[in-house]
Amino acid sequence: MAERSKKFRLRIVTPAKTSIDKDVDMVIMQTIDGQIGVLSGHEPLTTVLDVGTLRYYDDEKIERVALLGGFAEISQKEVVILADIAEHPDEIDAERAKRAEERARKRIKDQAEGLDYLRAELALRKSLVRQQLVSGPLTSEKTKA
Amino acid sequence: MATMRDIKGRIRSVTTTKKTTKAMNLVSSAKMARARGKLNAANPYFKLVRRAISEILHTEVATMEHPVFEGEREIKKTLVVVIANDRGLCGGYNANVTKLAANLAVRLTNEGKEVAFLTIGNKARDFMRRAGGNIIAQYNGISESPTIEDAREIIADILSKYENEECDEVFVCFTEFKSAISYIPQSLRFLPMSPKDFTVEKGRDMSIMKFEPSAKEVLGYAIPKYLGTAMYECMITSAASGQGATMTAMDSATENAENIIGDLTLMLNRVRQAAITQEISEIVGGANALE
Repeated sequence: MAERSKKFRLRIVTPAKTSIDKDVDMVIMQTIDGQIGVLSGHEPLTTVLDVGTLRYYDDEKIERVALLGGFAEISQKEVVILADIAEHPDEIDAERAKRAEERARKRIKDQAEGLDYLRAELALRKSLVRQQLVSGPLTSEKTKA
Repeated sequence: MATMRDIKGRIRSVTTTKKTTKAMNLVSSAKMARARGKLNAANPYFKLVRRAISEILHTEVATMEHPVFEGEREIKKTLVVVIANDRGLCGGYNANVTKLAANLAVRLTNEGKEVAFLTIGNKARDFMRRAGGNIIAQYNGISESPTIEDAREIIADILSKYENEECDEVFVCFTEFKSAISYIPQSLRFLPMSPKDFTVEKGRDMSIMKFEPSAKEVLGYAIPKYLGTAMYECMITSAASGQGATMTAMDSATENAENIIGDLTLMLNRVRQAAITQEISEIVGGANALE
């Protein structure tokens, strides 16, 4: 970002805690209709979020958070995200996510009796999002390390 | 008359009881603090979901139809959700909330409605069963430290019953945690909801808000979340109250044990003194007889 853009407030709130409450430059999130990027002065919008990774830009830093379902309310001054679960990379147990992935894949593959397909698929996607967040981004963030 | 040995034995037993009640008091005060923390942590989420729903309802699509809102549907069957503890030893906590539920059920029956119960906690189930209530679902073992997933599961169950017309109305009886010494049993109507209850805070212009994919879908998504969170709040506030009630009950039990120990010690001293006096008088009597 060449020039410093106007910041706005990003709040990510879950039933367990207020996970993030700070001023940021830009937010990119996964809605059920695709990704949207939000800068300061975005039109007021309320949208349902998909299971996915949210990225926000704070000065030069890019931070990422796994959002497992929820919805976002974009208003003049702030973006409020009401998520079921929000996890930072350091809060994720990669081993557990891996096991969850295997379990979900097995359930889908075996067509287990009484299989709730949607639920199994959701579990699989959650585990993938978590793992992706831990294993590292697809963007240039790694060059810092 | 009790012998010294008997009294000593009783003192020992009461002392053990006192230790137990004291430990339980400490445990429940720690648990209460944890439940309070959870309650405070959930509060912003709850408020914001509520605000979001209010805002959707106050946009131009305010007349939106969603089955959870009041409508033409005739109310014939009512589901009463009762939240209490799994265990006793908590003073009047279980009795107060179940009594409230029973009174509510009587009132509803008098209105000509068919009443069924969904119970959370062993004690809620036991009481409602004893009162002759028709229990159609029960959740046990979660009321001490409920999670949001528990609450969502219960709400999903309730919503499916509501959609299948197994019930047309839902009340929740819970115990509100006012402070560490004040818990108020309350009942709240969950379904159907009234759009009038959702007011928008002043100064927020909602007319320009857009919804994606559509207002209807956002609302359809937000409502189960809202109800789940509301249920979570009820369960958490009840859990905190239950722990608080246990704490108070154990505190007075400890005090009571102390009083009993005091009385018994006094009795022990008297008995011992009486024995000594008797021995002396026997010796004196014997010596006098020899003279």
